[in-house]
Amino acid sequence: MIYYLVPPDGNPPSIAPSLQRKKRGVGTSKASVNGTTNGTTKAPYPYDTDAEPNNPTVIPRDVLGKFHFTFLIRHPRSSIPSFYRCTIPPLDEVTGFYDFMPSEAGYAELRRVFDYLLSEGQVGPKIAGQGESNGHVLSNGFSQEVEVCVIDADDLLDNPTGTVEAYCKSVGLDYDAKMLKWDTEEEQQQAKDAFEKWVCKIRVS
Amino acid sequence: MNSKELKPREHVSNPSGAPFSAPNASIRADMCEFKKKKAKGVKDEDSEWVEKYGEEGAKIIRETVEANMEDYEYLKQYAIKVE
Repeated sequence: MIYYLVPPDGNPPSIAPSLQRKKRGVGTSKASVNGTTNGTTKAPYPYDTDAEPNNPTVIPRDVLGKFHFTFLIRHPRSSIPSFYRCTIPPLDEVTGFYDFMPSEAGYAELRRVFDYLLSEGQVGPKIAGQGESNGHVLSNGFSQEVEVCVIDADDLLDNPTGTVEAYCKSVGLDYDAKMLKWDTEEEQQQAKDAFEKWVCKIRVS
Repeated sequence: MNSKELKPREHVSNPSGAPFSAPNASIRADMCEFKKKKAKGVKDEDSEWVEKYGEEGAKIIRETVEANMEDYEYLKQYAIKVE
């Protein structure tokens, strides 16, 4: 998901025109919030807008600040073949991805955004599930409420209870063992609706 | 799709999919064994990918995996640790 907030192929970021707030200039009565007069409407990229220092995304810092970020990672030896399968039959019809593009793996972008949020003090310095704070001191001295919360998919699959419980503790949810069960008819239907298109295509192969 | 809950997954012996966690590296014999297992894991993986995706597919997958390992391992340092 983070991949789509960052310009592709390492291109320099600037704020998306629709999110830039800038006064139109002397003599105007209100600030333009949709950016169409400040940036060009040239699509898709590059935007003719300002960049924020160090911000690798097209989202302004104050908008990013409204979100509580947690991170899910997966070992490349699992994620890359899975991504590759999305670009070949039968899943290519489901995804609409007909060419495998290594540049869309997303790890580089995820790391850049993670580091930015960490340096800005939006996450950390305390790291969830690693005991006491490791003593990171941020240059701005920001006292943080949001832990760095990173889940590895293999840990989730090997120890779902422990991982989900730790996740809940980090983000402030009350853990309930029922979170790991979906054995009611309603929950089964919900799961089926969400994933059915993937399953049908896999079975066809 | 027919699952009703998230249970801990079962590992087969020497899985090619699961990453190996580093053993106690203070004993040289253990490290040799670990490296052998890891190398075998990569070879098994490559064979599996060639079988499923062909030579070209397996090659681009391996290259892409290698290209992203550093960023993955960097982020992994911050991951919640559970027993």
